[in-house]
Amino acid sequence: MPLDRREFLKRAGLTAGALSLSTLLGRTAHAAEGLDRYFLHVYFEGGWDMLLGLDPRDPAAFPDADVPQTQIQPGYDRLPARFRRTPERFGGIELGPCVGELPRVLEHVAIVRGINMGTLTHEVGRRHFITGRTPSGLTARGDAVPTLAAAQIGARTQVPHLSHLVESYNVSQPAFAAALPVAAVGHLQYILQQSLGVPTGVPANVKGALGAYWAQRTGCEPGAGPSASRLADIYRENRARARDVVESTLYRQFQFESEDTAAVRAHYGITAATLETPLGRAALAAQALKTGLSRVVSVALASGLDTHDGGWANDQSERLDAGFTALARLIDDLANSEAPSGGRMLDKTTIVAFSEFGRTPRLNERGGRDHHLGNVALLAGAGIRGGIAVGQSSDVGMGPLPVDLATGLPADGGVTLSPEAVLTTALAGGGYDASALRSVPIGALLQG
Amino acid sequence: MTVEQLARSIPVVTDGLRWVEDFGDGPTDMLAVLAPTLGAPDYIRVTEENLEPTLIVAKFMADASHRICVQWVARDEALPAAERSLVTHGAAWQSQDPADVQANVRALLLRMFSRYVAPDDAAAVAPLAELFRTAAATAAPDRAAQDGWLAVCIALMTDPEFILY
Repeated sequence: MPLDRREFLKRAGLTAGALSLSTLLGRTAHAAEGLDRYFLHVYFEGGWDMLLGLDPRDPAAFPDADVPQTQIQPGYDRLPARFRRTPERFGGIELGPCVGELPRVLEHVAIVRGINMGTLTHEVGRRHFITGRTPSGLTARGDAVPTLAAAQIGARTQVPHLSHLVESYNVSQPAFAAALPVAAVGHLQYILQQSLGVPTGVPANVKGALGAYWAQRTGCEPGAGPSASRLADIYRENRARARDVVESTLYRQFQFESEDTAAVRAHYGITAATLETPLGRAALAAQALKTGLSRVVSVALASGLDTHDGGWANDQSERLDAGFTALARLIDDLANSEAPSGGRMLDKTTIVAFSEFGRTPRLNERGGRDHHLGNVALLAGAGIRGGIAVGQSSDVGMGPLPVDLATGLPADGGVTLSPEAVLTTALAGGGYDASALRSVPIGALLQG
Repeated sequence: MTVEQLARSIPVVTDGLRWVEDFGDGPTDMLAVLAPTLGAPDYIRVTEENLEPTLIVAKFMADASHRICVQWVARDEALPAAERSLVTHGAAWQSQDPADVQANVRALLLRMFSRYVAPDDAAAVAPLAELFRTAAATAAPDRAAQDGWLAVCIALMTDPEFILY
């Protein structure tokens, strides 16, 4: 069955777009075959609640009566009934009540706690965790880390870097490494299929004549103004790639209502009507990586986490839980999929899950949580030790504590963790060159 | 150009045409639907227009040009000479006379790229004139001119000079 166009159109345009700000000047070089790696950047939009997720506290040890001293209020008793429980320990890692199916894949996952974001502003925190550099004001500096990864992997797929609802930046990498932003799952189906599968009425002889015309006109015309620009070269390159893409049959792998994708549907529990959900986006990301469409994917698996008000109890818990379930199924999918070059996909995929910052450990007077300087992150995949948590937040106000990078344990005279350290660790684990971030990895998280 | 500029430019150069699909529930402007992915800001999460000519921009222009140019050719052929906007030179719409084709290509370069080509500058129009000839030569007997102008129209709409300035 072809794409359900009605659904596509209904959802399309209702979601915000991703942003890619490549200046793309003076860079068209195609990288030679690079790293045999994949990169997955997962964004939880709005600022996640660490106590409900990756950095919980036992309410018995942090009762409401002590909040004036501890500034920590787990608040689990205010959650919907299905989340109203104390943190559980899985292996050596304690997790909050809203982590969905994450415990199922915890053996693959490393958690980094006690990260200092140094900002309470969404754009700054987000861009810091996307680029690994402190923004200049609100303006991102440097390339997005997924763009760095795409550049080092090389232009070996039709869409080397796909971004669904996550900002991306390319200021110094080759053009192919820039993210292709899609604002809806249905839009990717649009990209992959000629005119949504509707006959265009253009006869074959016209297409043939145009093919010959374009083949002879790969460069700019002398003195032709815009045609002579670097952007024009990039446009021509993308025009040729667009033709290649539609001539493939890859779109079938993204028609989630078709027989071809029955296993994907079953694994992610999705239908054509639930594509624009965390599970639908996770399925999109997995398919992009597994089918060879993309080697680098940025995807937002949770949104609307900026819960300052009374909606916190329901909205934060449900959205966080759904995001972690989607992430868990994605990790599980990659762990059980074979890479084209052999081995498990997960072992070749670097996964970084982040939010722009955490939320205050103390509930505000409206029953919500505000922006917090501390944060957590999740790493998994290539070269990363699983089943481990490093770093720590303090028991008063959950401030970041300095850690020994070699052990990941709190240490006087240690280092306060930053997004740079987390991203450098992710890149180092995958064998990427992380020198652009000018940081050092958290050695405790690196395999071998 | 921005999505807004593109949305306004296409009807201007084609005399009112846009890429519209009807999937059974009324006409849908595809440019409006795809605007977020094409780079248009929503001023909630995205406040700055992405002007990068991404793969999806190229794909959009390819699809849009196919749909719009088919309509433009069909409509133009049926109009009186004075009301045409695609084939504006020559004794007859179906003319394949090289001089008529060159004159029309010159007019279309001016219309779509704002690029003036002097009448004696045959080199500037040669590639598109050759495209017209190739498409016309391989067309069904009664569609030579239609296919020729359809090919030229698509080539112009998908040229970087149309969307960059």
